[in-house]
Amino acid sequence: MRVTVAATLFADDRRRSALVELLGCVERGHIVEVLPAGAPELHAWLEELGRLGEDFGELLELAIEDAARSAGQIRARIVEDDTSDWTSDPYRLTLDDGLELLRRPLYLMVENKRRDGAFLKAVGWRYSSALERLQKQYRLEISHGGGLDEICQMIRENKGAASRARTFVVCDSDALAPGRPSAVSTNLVDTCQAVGTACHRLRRRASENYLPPAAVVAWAKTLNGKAREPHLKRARAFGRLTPDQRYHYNMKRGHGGDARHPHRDIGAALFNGLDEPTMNALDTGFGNGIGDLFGQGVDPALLQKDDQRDEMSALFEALLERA
Amino acid sequence: MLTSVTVRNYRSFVDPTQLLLRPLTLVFGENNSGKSALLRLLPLLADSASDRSRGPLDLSSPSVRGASFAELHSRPPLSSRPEIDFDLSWEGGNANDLEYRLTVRSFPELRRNLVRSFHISTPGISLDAELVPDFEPSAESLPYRIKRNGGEEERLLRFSGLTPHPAGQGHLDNLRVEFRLLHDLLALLSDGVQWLGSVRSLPDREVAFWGESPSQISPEGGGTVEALVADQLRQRRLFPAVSEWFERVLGLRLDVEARSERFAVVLSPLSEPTLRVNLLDTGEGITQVLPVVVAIERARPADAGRRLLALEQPELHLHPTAQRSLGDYLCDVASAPDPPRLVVETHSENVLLSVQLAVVEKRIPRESVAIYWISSHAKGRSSAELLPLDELARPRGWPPDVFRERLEQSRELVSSRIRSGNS
Repeated sequence: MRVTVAATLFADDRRRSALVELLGCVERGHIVEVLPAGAPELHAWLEELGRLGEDFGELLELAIEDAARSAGQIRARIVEDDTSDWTSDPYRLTLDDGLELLRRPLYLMVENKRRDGAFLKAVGWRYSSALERLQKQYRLEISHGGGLDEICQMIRENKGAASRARTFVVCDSDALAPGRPSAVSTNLVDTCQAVGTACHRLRRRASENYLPPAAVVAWAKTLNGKAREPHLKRARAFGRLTPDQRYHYNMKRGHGGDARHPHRDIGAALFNGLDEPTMNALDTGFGNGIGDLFGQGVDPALLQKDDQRDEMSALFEALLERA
Repeated sequence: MLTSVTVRNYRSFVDPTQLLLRPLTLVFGENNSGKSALLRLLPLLADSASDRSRGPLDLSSPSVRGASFAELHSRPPLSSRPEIDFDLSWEGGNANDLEYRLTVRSFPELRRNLVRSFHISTPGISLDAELVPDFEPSAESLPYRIKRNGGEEERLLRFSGLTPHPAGQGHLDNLRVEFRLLHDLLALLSDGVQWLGSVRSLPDREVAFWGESPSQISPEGGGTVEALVADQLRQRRLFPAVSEWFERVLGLRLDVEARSERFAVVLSPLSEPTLRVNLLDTGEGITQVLPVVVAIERARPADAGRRLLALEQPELHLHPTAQRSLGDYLCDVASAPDPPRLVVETHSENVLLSVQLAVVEKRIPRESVAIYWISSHAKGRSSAELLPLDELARPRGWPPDVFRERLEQSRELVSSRIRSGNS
């Protein structure tokens, strides 16, 4: 996370331990910039610290380099005010609140930590080493939220401003067609927005809709027994769908699984015109475990061809910037 | 001007992989990801476009390093198809736009590699040709079924390298006319690429000069000194331009010393002009970068021959400050009117930062730059991703931890010092 600190804070010796802790956050990879650059208050403060001051000075220079490289947005300004303003963008914070913000890791909240964690690792292959680094630096933790309703409840009950600011939700859209997210999903997005928590709603229906057809076919070929043929037929039918159909197909339970859905007509319209063998093959889905395929490793070259780069770049770059 | 090359089933690039040839195209990636293979397509295509090529692909091209066709196409388990697909696009103003797609296939039983099919499209012409399966194995001209303008006919065609020629007179009118633009463009391509490899050998201490400047610099940098000597003796623009770069970036002035019938390039520090040192006795960075600057300066005039430059690691052995200057220089060249095309494979963060800074400062338009990241995936498959520069000149999709090593190492070092109580 990139924050700025007013140099005048360094003039008051009573803040010494808090400022030492703040600069310690740079060790964990946070970008802390003291403004204005070259302020005499900072210079005097660092000199007083002796050798430690030299090292902090070096850390601050590295932070400037990091800021230039990442060109990330400034998320908070730590200023001399008496109270914090968590509604401004960037936040205007007291030193104590700024510290509170930086001490916490960013909680990446997903519905299912194991399954969605594997999904994010697979689709974020380009960012995997950065995500590992952030976890090691105690700047990112993946957190299990349960269903969308439960996450919504947790976000509402999350009272601390710093805690809200350090939460990032990734949720399914549950959309049966493009641009038609479910009411529950929309409610979660609205709740996050209302309390200042970052949220990325997947453009596709659910995480398993990011599985490339070739990966699903390859999985079906590994099956033995009775399940193999129908799943293989289904996987091939899945590969024949248009991108929009593929992104909104009920991967777990197929069209049959949507039969009682209140908005089933929306979904049905999207699949109009498909030939009967394809429709029949897709009537049943791939089962509840299909999302586990991400955990078994999906060839990034297949993901790369699946038109997900823009969305995933936006998601992971927002995540890295906030962490 | 050739504006893009797409290849499929080539080396580890199983899927269609496009390389846009912008004024400045930078190719980054980890070691062994396929960067060089992609860049070397350009000299391979140039050599294959020549009349001297002994097959559709010139396997004697230094760019393939003696590889057979079977070693050039993607192999099992990546692919079992013994073919490589190419798609070349030229943009030269409406009437001179052309797309040439072709598939080269290996026929091991005939010990031949042949063009199995090709497609030519220009404004007003769309032509598809397919090799007719039953052909005389040793024949020079082979039967192709040609479809164009709704008509279809079988014709005998002979290929010299990548270039198709109609054999004899046939019923398809204007076939020669339809091939003419392609012939012209391939002829330009065959003499249009200057490739410099990443392993550049030392020049001779002195060279003889026989009145001719070499037509190209060899991939190892051979001919660089000869080109400089020829230019200096004829008082042309190359020598002063190269010397100016060395003076500005490295504080060294270039000169040519005549020794009987032989000549040597010498350098003198600007601070001590009387000290003259043979090129061979200077630092490695200087001998390594000299062919790069000479090749670029030769390509700058609009009427120069080899204006498509494929440069592998031009920053070799240069210290970071000079790498930054090299990056600025690449931007200057690429942003000039009617620039050559520079395709640069590099590991240099300084070059990237120079280009980003030049874009932010609007010294070079964003559209003049293409940045590729080459990834190596499971089972040895590679892919090339074009990473567009955003309004802050950040390459979108850049792997976030690439080039962070020094930063993280420095941070760890300072943190360790603090924790160990030495502070």
